[in-house]
Amino acid sequence: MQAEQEAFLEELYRNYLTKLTIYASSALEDRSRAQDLVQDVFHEAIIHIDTLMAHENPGAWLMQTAKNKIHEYHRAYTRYIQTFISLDSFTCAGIGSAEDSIMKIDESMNASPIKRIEQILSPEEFSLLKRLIFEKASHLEVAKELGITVWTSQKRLERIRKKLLEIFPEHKNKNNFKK
Amino acid sequence: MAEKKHNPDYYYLNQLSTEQLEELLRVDSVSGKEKNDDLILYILEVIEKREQTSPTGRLPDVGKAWAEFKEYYAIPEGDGLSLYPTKREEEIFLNAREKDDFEVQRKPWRFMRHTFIAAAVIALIILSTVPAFGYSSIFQLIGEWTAEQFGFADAPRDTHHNSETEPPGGKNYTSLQDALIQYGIAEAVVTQSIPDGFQLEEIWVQEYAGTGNIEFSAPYAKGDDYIIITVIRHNGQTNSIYEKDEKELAHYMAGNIEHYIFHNNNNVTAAWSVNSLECSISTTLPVDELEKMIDSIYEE
Repeated sequence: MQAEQEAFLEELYRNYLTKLTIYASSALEDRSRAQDLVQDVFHEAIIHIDTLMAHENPGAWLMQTAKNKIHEYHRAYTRYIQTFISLDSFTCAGIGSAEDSIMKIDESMNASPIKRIEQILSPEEFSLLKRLIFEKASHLEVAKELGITVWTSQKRLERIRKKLLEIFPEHKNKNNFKK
Repeated sequence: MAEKKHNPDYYYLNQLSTEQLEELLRVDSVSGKEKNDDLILYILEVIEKREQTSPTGRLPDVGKAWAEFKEYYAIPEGDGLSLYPTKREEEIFLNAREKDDFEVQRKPWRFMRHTFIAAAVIALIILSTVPAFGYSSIFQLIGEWTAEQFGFADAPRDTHHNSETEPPGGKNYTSLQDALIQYGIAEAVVTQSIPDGFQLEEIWVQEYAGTGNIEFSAPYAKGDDYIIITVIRHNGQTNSIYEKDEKELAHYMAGNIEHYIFHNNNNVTAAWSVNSLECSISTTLPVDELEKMIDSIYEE
């Protein structure tokens, strides 16, 4: 980034970080994941920095981007949970809230679907999946725990998703792991 | 998004707790693409101001977060990537036709805005029921309060005001007094003196079909300061609850009526009752200004 762009981004950051964090924390009901998501919003701003500098209301752009990311996060998370439950012959139609689903997963950690996934994934991959999906850790938390970058954490999760799709191709049709 | 004049309709939100405001934010985050930007911004600013006054750990350390952003997120490995990918809906937002789209969406946005405000007002009304307590005269209700809430204990109604009311003469009112008169309300409850510089935003009248209550509201604004005069004509029991902070509640006598003055974060409210009317003035101004407004109600 050029100095002018960086100065613009920093000003935006200082003006809107707090509001976006309050919003994301309310939506996700978790501060660390909310901070992770808000940092990603500002990372998105780098990608669109030229357009954003010409935008008449960059604050509104940031807010809309945060809302889009929150919306997609909820959808992706629900798809993961639905897939794990469907692997165990639960019907997706009967799924309640995401929290209920986690309870079911946690209670049945020894059940066959989780065992199958555990056998397919390496211990590191399974541990990462468990942290990011079941325990809802942020990428930053995982990165610090494993001594990797947040982007490596994201790429590893992506690889896990593709691996599961290969092993359980029937779920392609259900869009369960699809973005 | 910052430093803009807010719609006075939102000032009701100051009376909701932070947890209730967060719930409104959560509802917004799952409500799809409706644009409630102004309302959401207002809620965020209310929470932010409260946290600055009385920190509870909700606000991030901006300096630390910026350092983390540069160290962990804004690194070459992340070029072109997203941790939480979207379908690039923001591209639509950036589209040159944004203004037109916004105009098209004004109606649903306005609907949502009023839905939120109605939800906030209803939340004030139904938060809890105040238990019966007593009353000093047949025409006045007694205020009850705790460290965090204020409300009027229930009392019998003046039968005159339980009778059928005159139908309202129209939707446009020149003043709050005009609106009250059109609903057959003649009691002196409207301040005759508004501090200099305050502009009336609109007269807001809401009839609640479920209870038969009617709420009249006149918000005034001057920069970031506001005054909201509210009159609720109750058709049955009153169960309004006002949020208040721990500052001591004060009693103020004027016109032979007891007014209860209490604070909630950055605003101060005077509440009192006359017959079946529950009245309040909420403002960001100091208490002495509020007392002047109360006095003016009873001036001949």
